[in-house]
Amino acid sequence: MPSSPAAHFITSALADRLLRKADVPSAWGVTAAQFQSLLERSAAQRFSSVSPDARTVETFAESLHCKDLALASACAAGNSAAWDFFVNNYRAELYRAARAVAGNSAGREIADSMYADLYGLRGSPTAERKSPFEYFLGRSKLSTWLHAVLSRKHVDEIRRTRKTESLDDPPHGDSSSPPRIEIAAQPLSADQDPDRERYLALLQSVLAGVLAALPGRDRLRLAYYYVDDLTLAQIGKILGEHEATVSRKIERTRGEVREQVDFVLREQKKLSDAQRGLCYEYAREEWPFDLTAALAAKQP
Amino acid sequence: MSAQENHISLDGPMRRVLATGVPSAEPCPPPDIFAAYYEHSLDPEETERYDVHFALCPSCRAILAGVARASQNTPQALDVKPDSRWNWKSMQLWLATAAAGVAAVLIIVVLYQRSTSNSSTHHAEVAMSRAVATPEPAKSAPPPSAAYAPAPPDAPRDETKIPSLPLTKSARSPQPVAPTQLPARDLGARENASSASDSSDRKRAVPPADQSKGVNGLRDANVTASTEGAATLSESAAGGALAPSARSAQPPANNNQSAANNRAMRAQAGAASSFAKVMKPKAQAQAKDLVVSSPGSKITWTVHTNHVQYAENGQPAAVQDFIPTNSPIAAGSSPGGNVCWLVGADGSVVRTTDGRLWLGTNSPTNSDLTAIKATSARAATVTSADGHTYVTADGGQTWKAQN
Repeated sequence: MPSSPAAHFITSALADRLLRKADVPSAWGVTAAQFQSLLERSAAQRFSSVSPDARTVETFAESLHCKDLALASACAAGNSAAWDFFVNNYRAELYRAARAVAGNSAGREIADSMYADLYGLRGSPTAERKSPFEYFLGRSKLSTWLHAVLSRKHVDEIRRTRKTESLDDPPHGDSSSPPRIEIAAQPLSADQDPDRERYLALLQSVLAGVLAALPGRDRLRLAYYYVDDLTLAQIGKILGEHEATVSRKIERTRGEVREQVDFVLREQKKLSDAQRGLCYEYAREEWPFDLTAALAAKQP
Repeated sequence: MSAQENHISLDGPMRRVLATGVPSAEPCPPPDIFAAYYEHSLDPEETERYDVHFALCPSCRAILAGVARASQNTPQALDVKPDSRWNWKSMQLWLATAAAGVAAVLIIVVLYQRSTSNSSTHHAEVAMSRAVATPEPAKSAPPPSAAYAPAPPDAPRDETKIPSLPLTKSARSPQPVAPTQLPARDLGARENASSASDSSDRKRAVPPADQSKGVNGLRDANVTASTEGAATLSESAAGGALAPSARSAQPPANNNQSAANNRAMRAQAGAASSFAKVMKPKAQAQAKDLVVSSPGSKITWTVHTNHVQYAENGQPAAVQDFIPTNSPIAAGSSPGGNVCWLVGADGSVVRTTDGRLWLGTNSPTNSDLTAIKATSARAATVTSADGHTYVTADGGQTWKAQN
């Protein structure tokens, strides 16, 4: 008996229809009842906090990648025909994607490790097979899901093996504590403007507030561009935007941020033109990151 | 300073601020969400929610960047479209039907106008003084947001218009921002990033207990790490949510619970929305309003989430002041005058010496701070949740543990 309200709308007739429509080979051993359980699980996950109607759930079920879902389930169960299909159709792609994510040597290691993971642990003949395939819910293509798992594995590995903190990280004694925006700047030298620290802290706090108030997608676009160094094409691919659209929106957001920061410094913090100029000048000296120059330096 | 120089001077601090992960009330999603997000098959509400999360989470962005790299040049055999898409096909059908309907209405209106003008001419001698009321063209409702409708792979596509960031209302018109040329790597240049982002570690915050649950698709905790460092495929979701971005997507259907969740999300007023409220006197209160009074003067500070309302003689200031911490504030102390100290979760300590400008100080500990007693602008004693006491005599630059 399904526990989620949404799962109640996954009928055996619907499951049977989708299974036949997906043209799942019978050799994979996925029965209609099993497929119904898979659909119920996906629906339960998707609608965990809402109570959809039957039509919504049915539309959702029809949007799933049913054949991939059946394949993943059959592989998780250890079906040899399904595994043969997976090896023939996905293994090469797995290794290619791993190389794209992590480079040649690290990519191969990750792909080997992931391949073993996908096969599932088996400590003894009676041990329960536990494969990551069980977590595939069919909301995307199986290949994209594999890419996400690979990428996550790679990021986890980087974090695990990283020995030093990034210069951009605020200092933390405890890595489990959340990072805070560093406000206090370096101790002053004798010939520095005594207000320099104040101006820098002020600019940084205002900028942090302005960036925090940006719509999520605008901030995401900026973060990909400034921090993750993705190309416009890559950003566009992730966000579903054309390259030119990404460029235009980044430029627009940069301008809006600049105007908003200037407004806050002028109207709320009551800084004069000269004082605001000092803010920007000190910021340029303290954090001399010129995006254009940095990217030019990366050009071959 | 020219517009180009202005951009450059903010590039450094912007990169710094963006690189700093912000604790998210929402846990990082499992790989199936990453994959669905990348394929744009999440619904608009989910997409917007994850936009906010990914904007604040460097690790999740790194994972998405990896998915983008991995998905380039995927063999066509594996690029099989599903039998149907969640809403997209039906939405396209709806749009086509709506467009046909609008066209039909316009044709009818034009024909009616023509027939009406013909008859008015015929009756001109009879009713010359009476204006002919020609019906206005029917105003058709704009089609629903197509922000997330799928587009042909290489076609330019515009997103739904996004409400713009509240801009200055200064009497002076803002300086026109010269369109800066984005660097050459961007337009047409495809670079494969060599590795994932090296930015700060992801920090996963346990959401506060009073946040509502109800994160779609993230409830079940079925985490299995087969080996150390292996991919964590799904995360336990304790619920909670980020404040939504200013951009609103289509309202979710069937969503009494979701509407309640959205209200709860907005009530949290996290970093995404609270700064915008600095411009308006009205503010969202944190769960428990903290009011700090300055002894010997009539100054008070009312602490809200991420900002403070300054008041003197009972008169609140026109704008509220931003405090440079996202952590909830637990206690405050004023030794007098315009000096006020605030402390809160994760060792946060902020201070003002002029009543309005709040700066963070160094923190004595990463534990939550629950109390503070300030005796001057430079001297204060704080107490942490685990019972330790720390003292500063230099305005929070350095702290000494008392026990």
